[in-house]
Amino acid sequence: MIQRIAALNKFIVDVYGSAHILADGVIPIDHVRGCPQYRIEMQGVSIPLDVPVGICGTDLVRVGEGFRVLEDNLRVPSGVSYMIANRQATKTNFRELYRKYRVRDVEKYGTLLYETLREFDPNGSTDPCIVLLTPGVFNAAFYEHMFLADEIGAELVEGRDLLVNDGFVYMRTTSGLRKVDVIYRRVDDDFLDPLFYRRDSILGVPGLMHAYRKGNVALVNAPGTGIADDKSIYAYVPDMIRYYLSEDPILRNVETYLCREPEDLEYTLDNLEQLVVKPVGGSGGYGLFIGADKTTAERDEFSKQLREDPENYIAQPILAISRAPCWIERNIEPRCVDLRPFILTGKESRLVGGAFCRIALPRGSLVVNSSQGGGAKDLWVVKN
Amino acid sequence: MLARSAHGLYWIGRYLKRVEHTSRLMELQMNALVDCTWDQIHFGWLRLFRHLKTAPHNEELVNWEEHGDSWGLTDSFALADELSFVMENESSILSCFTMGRENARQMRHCISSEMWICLNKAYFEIRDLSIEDIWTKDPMQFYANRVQDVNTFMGVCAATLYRDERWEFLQIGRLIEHAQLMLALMSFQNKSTDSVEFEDLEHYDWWSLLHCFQADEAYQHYFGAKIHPEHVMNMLVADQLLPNSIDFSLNQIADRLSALGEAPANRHGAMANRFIGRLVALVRFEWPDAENKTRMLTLAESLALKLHEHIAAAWFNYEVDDSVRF
Repeated sequence: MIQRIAALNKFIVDVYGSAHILADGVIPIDHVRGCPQYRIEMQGVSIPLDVPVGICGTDLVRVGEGFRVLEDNLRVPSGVSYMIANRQATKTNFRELYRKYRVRDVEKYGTLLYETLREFDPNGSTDPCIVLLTPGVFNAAFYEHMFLADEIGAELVEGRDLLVNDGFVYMRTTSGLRKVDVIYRRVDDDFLDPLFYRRDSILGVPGLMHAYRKGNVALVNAPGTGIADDKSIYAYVPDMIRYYLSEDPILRNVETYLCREPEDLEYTLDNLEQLVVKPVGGSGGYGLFIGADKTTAERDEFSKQLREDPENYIAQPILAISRAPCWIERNIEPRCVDLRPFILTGKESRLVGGAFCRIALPRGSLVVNSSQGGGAKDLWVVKN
Repeated sequence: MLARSAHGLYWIGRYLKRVEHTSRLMELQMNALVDCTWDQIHFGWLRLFRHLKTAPHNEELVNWEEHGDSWGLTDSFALADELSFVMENESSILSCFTMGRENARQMRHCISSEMWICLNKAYFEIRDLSIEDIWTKDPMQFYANRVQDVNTFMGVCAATLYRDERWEFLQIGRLIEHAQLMLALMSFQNKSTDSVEFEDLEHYDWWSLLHCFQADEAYQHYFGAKIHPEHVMNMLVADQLLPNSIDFSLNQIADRLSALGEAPANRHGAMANRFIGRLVALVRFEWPDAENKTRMLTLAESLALKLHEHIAAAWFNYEVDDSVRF
């Protein structure tokens, strides 16, 4: 995972900078520049530490004997608070069992997150002013925002609490305006700054991008990181690893067919029953077309849609994802699970020995996403 | 601390004080329903609604004056519901509890976990209740329990909240709400004493107020068992030792503002200090000799409102201009 995030960070810095990888033809230029996640405003911007992705949540599944990367979440990955909350619940309810095993600690995540964010301070001070920017109480992840702000001892701010003056970001405090050095932002790019992105956004801070481009404040993660977790770019991550690190990928991708490529499109159309088709810009498990669950008529209808807009889709084989025993309505039943470990990267990469483990709660379902009713488990990484 | 968080804490203090205050008077009113005359019951309801500056949502109850009617025993069920569970009524106990908890939910990182648990537990105890649930059982106990909930919460705050600005803003909110509600209550009570409508009222209502705000024992100690409305009024307004008096709250506010020091918006901060100074002087030095008490209470009410506005402008919602400290 450290290898993978190192390559992804180099890729993002490269595509918004000299774009060597595009010039060398490793990734087709139109795949990158034509991607909706490509933020032209980030071109030529000096990114603190050359690390655009300070917090990454990589989704892993176990297929057979090995792990595969399902996707990389490089924008505002969520779920880490559940990892910690699940652990606290397990420790409370299964004290004896927990004591018997030498389980790696996940509760130090807050400390590691703080250490990582501190390294992004543009002034390099030992005690920077760090804030967590939330869209507010109505956001589905608000609990997590609050939890993390508490863990790292940062103020939990909304856009209306911040303002930009002379290229610096300030927050309104009861002692006046206080300069902000590092913003752990949990607001999507589109809403970050109404002067740059969506003009109707009231969640962001007018002028924030100006301050960021001047290097007066650090945004973690940087805007524009979505270019590297777009599903159409995902297929190139192994190539990125070879290109930037001159290493073979340690973790394997899931085989991916880019429907924008004629050959891949034909393969997808011919084998729709064995494939899951995903919209490239989608997230949260929405818009998935799982061929095996559909009728012939539905597959025919979808084929037409695919032919009309192939660039918007990728296809992957339906995986036999590993299952774990779950307590479902007073019975133990198998359910599909995936893992989302969180990788923190500042001057170095850091991980806790655990991950957010998601469960697809309906019997036979492959969709583990929390926004679609997925459940969660405590995951134990046991010391040797 | 973040200005918005301070604002949230200030309003937690205000909302919960309103819960406590309304609950105290509702307990009193439930007691009145048992053995008081119809005009005392009517007066009790009128006092509650008028000083809380609210009105029932039920149209028939709103227009009682036009019908030459009054609020009696039969209206009490609906009136009690209005001040207890009607969410549309911003002064109802449930509404204030909900708003207080909502503020706390948004700034859980600013309060202790024990405060959150305490508030949450109290909220969930009443969230699904309705007036039917309490009316035939023990309504007085219900309101007494709400007073206890708030007292417990304030005790947990005192035991667990770090004594920085968080504490100060929570207390300022609580104290300003108390001062405003007591001024409004005293104002209504004073006007009613002089009005023809309630000339037949006995001293029950003065005595019940003393009891409601834990001043009855001190009163008896100093003035004996006979009720003198002017003594009761003086005690609830200007007694320096009574924790529920207006004077006591105002002096506490002055101390808290002084502890906060300079505000980010200097002009409004200075104005807030000026207004609290005027209020303290008014109650402590002008009140004893004032001939027109009603006028003085009205003036104090408007000063307290201005004080709230200047505090908000000085610390919470300040405009960024030259007067703001960077």
